[in-house]
Amino acid sequence: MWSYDKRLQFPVKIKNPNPQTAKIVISQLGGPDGELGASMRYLNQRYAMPYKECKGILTDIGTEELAHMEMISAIVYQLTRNLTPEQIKEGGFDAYFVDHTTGIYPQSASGVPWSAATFQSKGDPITDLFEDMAAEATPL
Amino acid sequence: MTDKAKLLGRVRMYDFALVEVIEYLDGHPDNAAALKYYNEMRTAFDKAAAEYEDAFGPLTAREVDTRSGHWTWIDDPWPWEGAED
Repeated sequence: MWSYDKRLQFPVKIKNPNPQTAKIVISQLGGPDGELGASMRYLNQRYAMPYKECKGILTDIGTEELAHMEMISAIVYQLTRNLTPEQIKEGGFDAYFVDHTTGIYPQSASGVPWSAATFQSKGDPITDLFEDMAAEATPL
Repeated sequence: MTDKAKLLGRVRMYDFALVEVIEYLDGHPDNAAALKYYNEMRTAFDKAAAEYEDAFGPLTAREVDTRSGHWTWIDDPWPWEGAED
């Protein structure tokens, strides 16, 4: 079961829109090593984890990743507020805009929609942990 | 910085401390210093959250005061709209 707090984990307050930056940042939402994938990775892998300490860690970090997802979405949302047609074209945001307007859609910077194919859940905790290290190596 | 931003900043600070110490305790369930820190942060968070909610409204849908006859949970702004501070 989950509950929702009506606040971001860390404040996001962006004054000026910047579609160029939004195009890159969106990968941290829906790219292969983004927050959505991180959350799904841990929350799905936890069922195969035999150790209570690690069941707790996978549950709690998988939950925290959802809060990270909300912050990244807020960043993209604020970076693309009140864009003019010129800003959309000049910022190279037109390819995204034609499919989603300024809606938040989980995709990589290169435009590939988020997919569960970006993570693994093999029913073996050591195998899963190696996969976790590969995914976390990018931000580290 | 507004009073609202200050109070929410304290809620965030204690909540983040709780998030991190909970993850640490998951892996170190008998660490006395972490258990002590958890209790301190929980007390501090509860106090900060109560102060914020008394002044600026509910952080969770289970803390809504319905005496106005209005469901204030849905009142703008929402967190991603950037006006919470």
